[in-house]
Amino acid sequence: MQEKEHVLEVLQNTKKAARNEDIIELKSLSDQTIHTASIEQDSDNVIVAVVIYALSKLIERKSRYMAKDYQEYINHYTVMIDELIDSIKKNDPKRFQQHLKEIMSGSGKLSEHLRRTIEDLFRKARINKASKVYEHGLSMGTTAKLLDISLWELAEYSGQTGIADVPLTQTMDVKKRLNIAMEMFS
Amino acid sequence: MMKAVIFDSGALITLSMNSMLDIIRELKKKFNGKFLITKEVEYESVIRPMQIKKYKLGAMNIKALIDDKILEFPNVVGASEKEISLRTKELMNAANSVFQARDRNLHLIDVGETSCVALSSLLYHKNIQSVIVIDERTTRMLSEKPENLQQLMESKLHTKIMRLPLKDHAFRETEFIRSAELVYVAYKKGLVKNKSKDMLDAMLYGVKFKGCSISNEEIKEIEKL
Repeated sequence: MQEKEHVLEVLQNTKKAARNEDIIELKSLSDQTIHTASIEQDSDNVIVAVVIYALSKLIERKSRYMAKDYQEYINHYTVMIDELIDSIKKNDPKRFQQHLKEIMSGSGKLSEHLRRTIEDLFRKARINKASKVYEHGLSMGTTAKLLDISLWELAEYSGQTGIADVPLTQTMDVKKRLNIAMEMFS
Repeated sequence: MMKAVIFDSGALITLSMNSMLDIIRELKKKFNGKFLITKEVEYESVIRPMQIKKYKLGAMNIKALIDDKILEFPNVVGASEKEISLRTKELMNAANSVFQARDRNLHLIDVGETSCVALSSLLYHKNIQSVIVIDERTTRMLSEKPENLQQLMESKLHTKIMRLPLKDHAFRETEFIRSAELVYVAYKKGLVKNKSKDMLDAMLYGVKFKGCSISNEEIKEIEKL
């Protein structure tokens, strides 16, 4: 994993923010990780960003879940974050990756409903983070591969953001590009 | 001179998600050349989404264009898969060492997009005029205004980005259009049944909201023409 110290700090702050149910701070921590992930293009960094974002959404939608289910999953999540922190401190990347997988698969005692909800939550979190990475300048193909999503999911989501409206992305006069197209079909 | 239009995955996906693939069929009837896709683009736009229920129908509709030989593979113009693959690797190496952040090369573009530029470069040497239809912005920015891409990344990543010259000329020599321009051509040539301005507006925003990198300002400008 790249930038271990940074990830460690982010995870420690994640724990604090989760305890305080501070959704804004969690989203900001996820975004910070995405900056690093876009540069390093390290899949562990990317998944950490996804995990933190999914946690923020889980807390945000707390009222939609059965209290017992929710509490059980949050406890599982918190324990796993402790394990992630510990595996970074002990420089054990395999254990780190195993715990990331465990967070995303949920604990064994979850209801079928919550399990499906969590799967959906992580899928959507991946797409949201992919859109952020694309916004940072990586191509759609590179981004989709990094987040392990399809181009279809990324195109559909990013089309609804303001990414295309950033003035820097206009690289040629509108008329000039239309002329290229018209000439090709003349 | 022979002509070819090369489609990147994103443009096919955008048109498919808007149920506008018929535009490609209609344009092909009027086009004196080939519509081409690489194997890498086929994988991204057809083979992979066939495994995802939500996108399976869209992928099958693109596959129908291949089955009907509206979209063809580059071997029909004498460009082999091996040639494209080799050229793709060369171009990816060149493109992905242009920008550096924190002493590390930024891997910007991937095999699908690069295979389109590789094909365009091979066609150039075969004296075939080509244009790439690409909806994602990074490949286009890297080729047309790398300084804009540098500025964008510096502002988004909050870090200094170093830019080296793009050694391979293929990117600068390639011409790019988007699904939006394709829609405009079809509209202007009367290939769309509904000839109203509202229809053009609906189609342009349709492609924008499904991933075509075109701004509101650009759409307004197109509509004024």
